[in-house]
Amino acid sequence: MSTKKPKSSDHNSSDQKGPAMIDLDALRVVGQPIDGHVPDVPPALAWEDRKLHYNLVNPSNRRKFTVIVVGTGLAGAAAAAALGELGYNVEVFTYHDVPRRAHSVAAQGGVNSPRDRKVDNDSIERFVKDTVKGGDYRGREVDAFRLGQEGVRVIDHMQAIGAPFAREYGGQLATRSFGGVQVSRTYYTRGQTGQQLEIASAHALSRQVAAGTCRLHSRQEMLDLIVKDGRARGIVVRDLVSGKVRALTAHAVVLATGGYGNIYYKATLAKNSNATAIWRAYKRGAYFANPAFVQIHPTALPLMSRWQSKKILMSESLRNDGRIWAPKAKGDERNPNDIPEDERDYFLERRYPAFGNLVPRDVASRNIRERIDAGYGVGPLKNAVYLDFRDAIGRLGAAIVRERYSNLFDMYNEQTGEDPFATPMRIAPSVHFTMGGLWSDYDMQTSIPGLFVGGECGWGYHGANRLGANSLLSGCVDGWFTLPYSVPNYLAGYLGESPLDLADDAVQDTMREVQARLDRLVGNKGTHGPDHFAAKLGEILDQYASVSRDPAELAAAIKQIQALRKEFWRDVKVIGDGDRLNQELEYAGRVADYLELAELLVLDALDRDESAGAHFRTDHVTPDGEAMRDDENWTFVSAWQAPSDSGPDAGKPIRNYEPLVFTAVPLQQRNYK
Amino acid sequence: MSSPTADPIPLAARPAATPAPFPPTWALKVIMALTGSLFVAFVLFHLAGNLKVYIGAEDFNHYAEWLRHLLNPLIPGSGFLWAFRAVMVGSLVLHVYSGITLWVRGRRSRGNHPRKFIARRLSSRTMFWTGLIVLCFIIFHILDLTMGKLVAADGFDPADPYSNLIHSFSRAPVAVFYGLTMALIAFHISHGIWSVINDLGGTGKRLRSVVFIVAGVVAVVVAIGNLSIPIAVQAGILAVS
Amino acid sequence: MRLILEVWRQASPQVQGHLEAYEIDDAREEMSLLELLDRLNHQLIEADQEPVAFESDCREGICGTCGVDIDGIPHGPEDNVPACGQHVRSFNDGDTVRIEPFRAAGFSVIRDLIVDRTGLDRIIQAGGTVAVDAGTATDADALLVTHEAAEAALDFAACIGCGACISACPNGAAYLFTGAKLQHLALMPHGKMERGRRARAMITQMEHEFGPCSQIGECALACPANVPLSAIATVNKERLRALLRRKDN
Repeated sequence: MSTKKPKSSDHNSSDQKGPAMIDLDALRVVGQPIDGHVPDVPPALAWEDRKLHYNLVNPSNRRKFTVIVVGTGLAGAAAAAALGELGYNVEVFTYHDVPRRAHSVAAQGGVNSPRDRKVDNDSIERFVKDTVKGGDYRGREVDAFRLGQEGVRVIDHMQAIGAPFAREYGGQLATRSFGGVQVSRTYYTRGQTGQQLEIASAHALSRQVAAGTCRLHSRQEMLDLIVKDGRARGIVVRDLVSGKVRALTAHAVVLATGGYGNIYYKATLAKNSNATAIWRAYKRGAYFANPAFVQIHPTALPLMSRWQSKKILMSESLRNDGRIWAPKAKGDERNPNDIPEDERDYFLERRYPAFGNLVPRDVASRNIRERIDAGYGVGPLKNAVYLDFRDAIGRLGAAIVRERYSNLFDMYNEQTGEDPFATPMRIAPSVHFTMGGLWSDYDMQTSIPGLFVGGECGWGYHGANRLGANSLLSGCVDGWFTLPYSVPNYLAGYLGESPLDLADDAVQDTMREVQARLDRLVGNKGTHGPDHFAAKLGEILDQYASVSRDPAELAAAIKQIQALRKEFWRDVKVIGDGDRLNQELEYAGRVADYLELAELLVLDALDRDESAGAHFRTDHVTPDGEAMRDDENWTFVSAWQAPSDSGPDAGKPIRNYEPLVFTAVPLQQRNYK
Repeated sequence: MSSPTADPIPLAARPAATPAPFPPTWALKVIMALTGSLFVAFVLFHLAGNLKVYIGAEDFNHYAEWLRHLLNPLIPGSGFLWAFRAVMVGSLVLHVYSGITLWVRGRRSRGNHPRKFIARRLSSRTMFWTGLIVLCFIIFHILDLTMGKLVAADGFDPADPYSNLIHSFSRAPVAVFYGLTMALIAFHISHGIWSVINDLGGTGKRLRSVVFIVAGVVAVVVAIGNLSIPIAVQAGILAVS
Repeated sequence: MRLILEVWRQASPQVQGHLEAYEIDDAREEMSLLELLDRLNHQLIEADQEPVAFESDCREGICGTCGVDIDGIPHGPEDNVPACGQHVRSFNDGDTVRIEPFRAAGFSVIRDLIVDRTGLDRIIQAGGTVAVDAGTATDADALLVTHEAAEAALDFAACIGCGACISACPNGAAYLFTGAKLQHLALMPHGKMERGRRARAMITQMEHEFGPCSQIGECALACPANVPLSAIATVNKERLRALLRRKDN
């Protein structure tokens, strides 16, 4: 593989000029280059080539293998169902009561698929270009090819298992375009595409549960990974109803546990979404890729009061027909309908004439946040801008606008009591998706053999910024059309081997550690519930590690997080016992992990001495205020390894790196002007 | 810590392997719909006959006589009438059996916390109770005007239904009871017809709105038509000549 | 504003539950009902008392995790709105609000306001699925579906599986839920293939755990996904169709 090796260690030594005075070497160790196991063929042929080389398992031998799948979102439900259909024994875990509730259900706008049916010049190559470029060249190009290639049949399959995609009057599938692209390749079911894909996948899983190939364990939360001899051998779970800690071993483990955006406290994620599964895997040796790459979605409902429990996403598809603006005057408190046209600043259209309101999410979020911070915000807390449908209603008629967005408008109305047909929506940026996640190679296998990832908890496709409607696609492609090929390839090498005995020391030790941790939380007689600490952590991250990041502030944030973590363990209060349903205990465990992950997130943001996509460093800005990448030194994915307990570098995370190669989409600065 | 091997991670429960309740709920509902439809048709038919009372005793009695010999000579004597009665009794048994079974199943499925607040369709909620009262009424009505036993007015004459009717409704309590029952029957019918369209699987938007209206109209027609007779008797408009 | 919350407390399925009254002094109109419960729990935790266990997840009305009876009405006073979208503005200062778990014999209480709704999932497992394996589907563009059929399918597919229809039903019936799934899949080109066997299997399973429909219509008023009431007629329609056709499709 011809790769220009990044000179990261030189770049990050103390003589650098960027984040002066910050001794990064005291915080982390620069590790080794790692291999993504990418096929050595042109990227467009890689997936075909790799599939050809995968080992197979004879159908009659498949039932001898047990695979654990954690999570029943798009990726998890799909991987479990697909492996079940093939004949493997699948043990499926969810902390919900039923599989269908996983947070994939809340995705709204649509799912991309480069099916190239229209004459708008779409193609797989163009899809890859959009994805790689949208991700600001920090994802794996070859993964994006697989995403596009397998994405074509995702639509066929999801339609077949029950997703009623929108249809044109001629009976053909309807599409729309989404932020960051100029073609129409997004398939949708009104504003509830995620729901329909999730329900279809969960039902496919249900079919396998009924068939007996998948065994569903609901209300079970994974609290640790069992690793023996460097291989993933099982998981430890807590029964959320009885509080019992138990273990299950298998030949392979697939994590599909979603993103860690809730680390920011008030994000658009579901209340239960958390980072524990991937963080525990990290602690057991799985590398964590680019934790700092966190997407801030431009169109969420703003916070309106202290007790508002979370932010709510309004689909990006709204930007197709809605126009974003802020008043030209600071602190303009007039009713938006009373602000005349020439006193409105359509700032995205003004700054980015080519893409206008459809610029990628990071660009939109940064610009909106800039307007708000500069004093042009609107709404009771002056923390929003307008998203206006007046022109679309005038152009298309209210009926068509209603058909396209009815449930989004209803939702807005439900939450705010305002009617978007009459008054412009108020929107604000919110943490929404984490491009970072457990590092995996081309086969979706993490640095721990036998541990695979799927969906948002991995990294791969989206680089430093995810394109709209690519998350549903990646969940579907991983679950339905990647893991069912790559997991058996791994399993094939272990025919005849039984899953680890539950009496094995590795199992028992892991269970003991989990139990001890729970006991420590329950026994901690502090003064504040876990929510108190989650809120404080969210404040720190929102202030220092959000749409723009200043190195000196990041360094300060690390200290604050460390202090908060100490305070947490000294002062957290968990009401009730561990041997029954206890939501405070569940939450406390999750917050404890956030407090550790947050430090790695900030460290990664500090370490990555460039701006890229959602990672916008104030010290790396182009003359006209855009993110400035440093391709020479940073064209790689940071794959963080948990620190060792002893030696000179004890306690310092190790930043390994996988160099990224771009052949089909040559490196160039993003430009949406 | 307990030994992990002895205590497997619980599985989410799978669908039951045992057969569902017998007879199946859907079948009971279809039975209710079919027999109920028969009753609605009968009630309308009966109403048409009743209203002949306004034409006069002769016509009314003639109509009653005609009923007894319906389909003569194809079916001799009162053969058709008895066959019809058998079908009606059979339907009634099925209707009542299904109704009670479904009611019991409904109570059981709801459990220990009955729903108190109901936003709409009082008629649906009271189907069981209106049904029971209507059942009592049917027994009374047959004893009173068909068989002329127990509760019948004095001087019952099987050959003169017109006089029997007038005599019976001349008794104020009977007229009141009859009137109240007619209101309940209308109530029962209005929800009954709406249920028929659901139980027989009418899902079309237009069909459902039409039936919804028809149900109301039929109920009102039945109530007004039948109520008018005891009122007319009590008011002296109808009397034995 | 000040509200008195009467909340159902029940430590486990085995013990008797009871209503307990709590006072909230600083409820605000814009709070959702779940945020009101958050507020209550915050208050309880500060006072070292056991917080109220209740379920919620997405808090934007799509996951179907939340669900409580408010003064006896599933999800709350506003029709067709999930608990996370119901707001304190529906109440007046000084009101007493009774918060109970969803009620049906098929929904046993796990703790406080959390009930076991897996019965719905068992109806799906019985047959609410489409027998197409990964990778074997035909080209979705080659199958024509009218705009109207796709939209109608989505009206029914919108069900979020919260179980409010069952708690709303005086008979504890799951007709709206089951009918919605049957209707959704009956409109889909692949779903049609096993329409008959699906109806038989799902309805049989439904009758195991849930009650008969009396066409009252409370379910459609409570449904946060606005599933049309005609779904309750779909159940018998599909079952009769299967009976008369005697075929799998």
